Amino acid sequence: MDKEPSPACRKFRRERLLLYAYGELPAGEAEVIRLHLAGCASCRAEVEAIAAVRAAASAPGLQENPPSALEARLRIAAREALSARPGLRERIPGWLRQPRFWYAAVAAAVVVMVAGLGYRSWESHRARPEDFTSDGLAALVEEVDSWDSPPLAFLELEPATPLFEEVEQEPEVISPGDEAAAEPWYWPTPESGLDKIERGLEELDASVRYL
Amino acid sequence: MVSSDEALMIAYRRGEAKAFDELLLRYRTPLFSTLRRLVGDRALAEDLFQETFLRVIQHAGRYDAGRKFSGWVFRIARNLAVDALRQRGVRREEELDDEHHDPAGGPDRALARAEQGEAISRALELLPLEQREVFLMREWAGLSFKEIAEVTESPLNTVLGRMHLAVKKLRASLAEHAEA
Repeated sequence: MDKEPSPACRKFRRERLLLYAYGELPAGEAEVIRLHLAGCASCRAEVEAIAAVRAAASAPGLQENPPSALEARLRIAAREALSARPGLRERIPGWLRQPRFWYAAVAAAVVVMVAGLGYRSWESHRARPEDFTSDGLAALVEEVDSWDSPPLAFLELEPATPLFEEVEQEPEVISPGDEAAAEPWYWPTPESGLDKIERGLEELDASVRYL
Repeated sequence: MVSSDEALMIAYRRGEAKAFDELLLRYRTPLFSTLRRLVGDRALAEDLFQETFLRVIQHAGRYDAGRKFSGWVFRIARNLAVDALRQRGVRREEELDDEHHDPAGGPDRALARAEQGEAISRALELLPLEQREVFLMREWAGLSFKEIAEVTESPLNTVLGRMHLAVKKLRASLAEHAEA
């Protein structure tokens, strides 16, 4: 029955022919085997023998079913396992389900929020190094100088009357050697923007030194 | 639309009990028949079948959706069968010895008297376990040789070698039966 394979087809024995008989070879390799079988009686007999065993193994009555009662028990077990499975609430760890945890979480969130707002506020008001560069300073001076007019224009207010005006002095008789007295006398006028900045810088400097 | 075994297993894991029923329906015959021929004892096969599906239920949450269900379930069943046979090793050998000393004339005579289905059934039980499991998983369970290699944790060539020997012995048994 078992014809001796030729050396040429020995490589097709066993593994290749089994895979071919069970349809597990890629199409290209299967085609090579098919072409080989057309001219090789030994390999063809091997494939036919495998097919005969397969046919005998698939004869009716060989395979069996488990008892119906066993299947029914398994169906019940499958349903019981599903109903016994913990729900979402039970799957959350116990410490997460404590009200105290949530109170603490809310309090922490509020603290973080307040701290964040405070930081943002401080960040927007603090003096930055670029404010003290020549360009920054010029922009600041311009801004401070403009403080008087726009609000006044908006409020339609009369420009403030100077508190102190130049007082016209009676011509005095200047005695020789007292020329300084002949200088015109001015009362202090309101600070200019530059003055305010200079004063602010001095105060800042003093604060830094103090710190 | 027919769902794949893997989709059914995932559906069961989600809570659909009917998906389990469908899986049981698909696997009852190939799995039970394979176990029955592997262990050669119907009562033990029933226990192993039940234990296999109980483990499927128990470990449903750990089922890897990327893995073939057939390979997974047959691996569970095969491991259980091997353990059971190992525990019953001595008794099993004794049973086989009894069969070999059949007063009616031995296995050859018994095969000659049996029908072809009966003959191959008997021949299957006489195969070594390694060859029998490969043949049954390929022929009845429909696992590919590659999947059988994964289930049995053996190289593919080893699996093919065992299958080749199984087919050769079964073919010889069928030839003897035909001559008788």
